[in-house]
Amino acid sequence: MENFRRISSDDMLMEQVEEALRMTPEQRFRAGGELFDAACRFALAGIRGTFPGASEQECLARLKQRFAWADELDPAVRP
Amino acid sequence: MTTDEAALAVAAALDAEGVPYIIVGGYSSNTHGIPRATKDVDFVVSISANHFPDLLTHLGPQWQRDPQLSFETNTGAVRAVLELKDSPLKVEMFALSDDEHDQARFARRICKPFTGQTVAFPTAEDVIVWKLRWARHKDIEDVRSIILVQERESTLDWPYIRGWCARHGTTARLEEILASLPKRGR
Repeated sequence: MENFRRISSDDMLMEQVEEALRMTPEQRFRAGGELFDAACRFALAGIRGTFPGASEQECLARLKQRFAWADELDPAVRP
Repeated sequence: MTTDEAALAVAAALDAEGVPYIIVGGYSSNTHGIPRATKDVDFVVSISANHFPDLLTHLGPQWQRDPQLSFETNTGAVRAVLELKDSPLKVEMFALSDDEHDQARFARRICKPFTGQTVAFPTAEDVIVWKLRWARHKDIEDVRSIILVQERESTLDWPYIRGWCARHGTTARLEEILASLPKRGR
C-alpha cells in the first residue's frame, strides 16, 4: 500500500490543468468532440447489448432519446 | 464524420455564406480551459430578422435542418437546429441578441488559426462572464478550468470580468469560485 501516492481532488484538477496546458487550443477544441464520440460509442455498445435484436437505426434512436432526457434535466440556457 | 469535424464544417459553411459567428457553449470553454465531452455544438450568428442561412448546400446530404425555428421560452433565444444524420449530434445556431453582453462578446470575438481554417470564439473573459450568469454545475466547473488554464497560458483581464460581474450581480459567485480554487501562483 505504501507505493500508492495519495492525491486530493485539487491535485487531480491541477494534473488536468497541466495536461490542458500541453495542448494547443485546437487540440482542446477537438478533444471535446472526441470525448463525446467515444462516449456515444460506449453508450451504443451498451444499447446493442441490452436490445440485441434492435437495428442500428433503433439503437441510434434510443441514444438520441437518452440525450433528450438529459436535456430535460438541464435547464435551458442560451449558451 | 466526427463531432469536431462537423463543428468545423458548419463554421466553414457560415464563412462561405459570409455570416459572422462565434462558437459558444462547451466548445468555447474547451478551447480556453480543460476539455470535457460536449454533446451539442452551439453557434451565435449575426443575422437580420432571424433569417438563418441555408447551410445545407455547403454541408452536403448527410445533414438535415429542423424546418421549424424554435424559441426558447426561458431565454427568449431564437434558434435553428442542424442535425447530422446517423449521429446524435445537434448543431444549434442562436441569433445574436440585443443583450449588452451578447453584443460585447460578439464584437470582441477572436479568430484562432486551426488546421486549414480560422475559427471565431468569444474571449476567455467573455466565456467566464457568460457562464457566471447561468451558473449550472457544468458552467461553474468550466469557469474554474478556464481561470486555472488561462492564468498560466496568458493573462486574464480581471477589470473587464469584474466590471460585467458587477453589472450582472454575479460578483459573489465569482469570489466564491476564486476562493475554491487550488492554491496557485498568481
